[in-house]
Amino acid sequence: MVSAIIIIAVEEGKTINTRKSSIRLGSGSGAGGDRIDAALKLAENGEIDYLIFDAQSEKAYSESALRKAKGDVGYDVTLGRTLRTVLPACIKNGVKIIHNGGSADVEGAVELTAKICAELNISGVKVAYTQPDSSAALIKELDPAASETGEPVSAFGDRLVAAIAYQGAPLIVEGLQRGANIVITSRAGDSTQFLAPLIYELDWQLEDWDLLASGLGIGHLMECGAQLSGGYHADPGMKDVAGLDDIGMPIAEVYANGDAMITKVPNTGGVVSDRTVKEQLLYELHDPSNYIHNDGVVDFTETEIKQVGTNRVSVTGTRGHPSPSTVKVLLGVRENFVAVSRAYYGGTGAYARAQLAADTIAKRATRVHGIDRSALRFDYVGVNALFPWSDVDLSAVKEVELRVSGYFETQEQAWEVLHDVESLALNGPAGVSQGLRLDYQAGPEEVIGLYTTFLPREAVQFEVHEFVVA
Amino acid sequence: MANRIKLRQICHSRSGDKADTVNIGLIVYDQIHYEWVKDRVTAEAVGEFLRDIPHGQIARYELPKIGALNFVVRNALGGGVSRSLMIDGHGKGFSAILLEMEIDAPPES
Repeated sequence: MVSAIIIIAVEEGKTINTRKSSIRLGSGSGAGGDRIDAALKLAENGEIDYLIFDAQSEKAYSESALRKAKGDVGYDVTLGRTLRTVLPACIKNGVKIIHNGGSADVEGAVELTAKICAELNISGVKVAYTQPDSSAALIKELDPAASETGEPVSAFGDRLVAAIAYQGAPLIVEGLQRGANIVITSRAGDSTQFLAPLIYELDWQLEDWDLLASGLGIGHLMECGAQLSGGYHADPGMKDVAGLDDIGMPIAEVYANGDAMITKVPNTGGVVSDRTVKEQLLYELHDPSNYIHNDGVVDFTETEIKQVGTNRVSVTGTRGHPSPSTVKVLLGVRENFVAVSRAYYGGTGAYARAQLAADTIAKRATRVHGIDRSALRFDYVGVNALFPWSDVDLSAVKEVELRVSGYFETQEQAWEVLHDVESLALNGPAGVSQGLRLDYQAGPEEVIGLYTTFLPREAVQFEVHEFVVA
Repeated sequence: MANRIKLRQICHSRSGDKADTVNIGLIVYDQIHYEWVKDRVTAEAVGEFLRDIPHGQIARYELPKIGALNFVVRNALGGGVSRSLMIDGHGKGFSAILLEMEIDAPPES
């Protein structure tokens, strides 16, 4: 089907200067697999101009790369469900879609989009998409060092299965300039996806760093979906949130001067408050004065967040600095296998019995299976698996989940340990509880380790293509 | 001896991952407590609180306009979520953990 894709050359300087005074962006998902009914309500009732889906996380890209390496689809597996659900409402309401779920197979994602449009009898939709970039070839040529190891990328050898550069806003802007209804990228930065329509609609200039940073800052707030509107926030008695089962996705009304009003879909659960917005500003943030993105550097230190009404919070004062001279490239490297298994102990002495079980597993791993003890990890859920709480009375613990996990060079090694956990029922300490096989024998999973490297900005070339659904 | 409180009583929080680094944002409910918290919840104090779990260097950043401190804790996630064996490989639970830290209660205002 890819052969049917029409590729049109870039038309230089074709800019439609719309100069709107404000624009409404909706966040359709914070990750692949996010709530689709919430995205539909946003498309139907959000009165938005753009519906933006972030399907990426470091982990999600790793999973896509692994699927592709195994010959399966390399794009976001929830893309089909998303488009089938929201496309009719988006077409009806004139809402444009931006989605970064192309991952390791953008062309496959475009083919799927065309197929869904046909199923829904929607014609004339223009899809713009980024071709796989030149970073894989460039990395071979330049062989830069991986940030985490300090070694050249070539040291990964054939274990390197993916190299993908974060894509900047100009590519999405180009797609919009060409009149696209849907823009799909392989891995546009999360915040970038929100900045691009602001550049296009509000006529922002690519070197107005304060404006670009304001847009990126809004993108940073919006990119995790409901985390801005009441998700990952409720703490009964301290921070109550009504309607977690029906959280309204967040909407940013952004003005030409870079100020924004954060709100959410009307008549939904969740909450947009100064507290939710402050929390999300801090999410995955390091130095607040130097938050580096492909399209600019965000400085949040002067940003003000003010509740101005029910579910209405203003965000102002974000400043910016010029974008870095390099582009971040995410590397996926095949590493080894992980596996997890569990056994449960109850009653007086439960913790001591769980510890004895762990000791038994560890001894057999080294003596019988030749697995290094350091490859295994034992957690006592209900006791200290998340943190060694200082105020827990260990003698009072009545239920413990022993969680056994490990890194293994081969799947066979992983299975040996999984079987040993299963056989605790016959060979281990007293009073063991085990039920669903899924709980203790889900099987090993291959790890794609994530590394980063950097390439000179000018060197990384992307192409924007478009496809019109007949 | 001064009354002790858990941070939970005057702060809320959010944490997240980037590779093997977790950041924990700590926000005062009431701006009046910002300086009190800032003076006590130092990078060193957080390092001491987290002493029994493996972690590297801790940096603290200040965001006075929103009444927040941001703690960036390196090498705390067992290698990062793509390979971590930790239950909390995404580091989101660190937000609740930091709120358990105790400090002297601020004076009644």
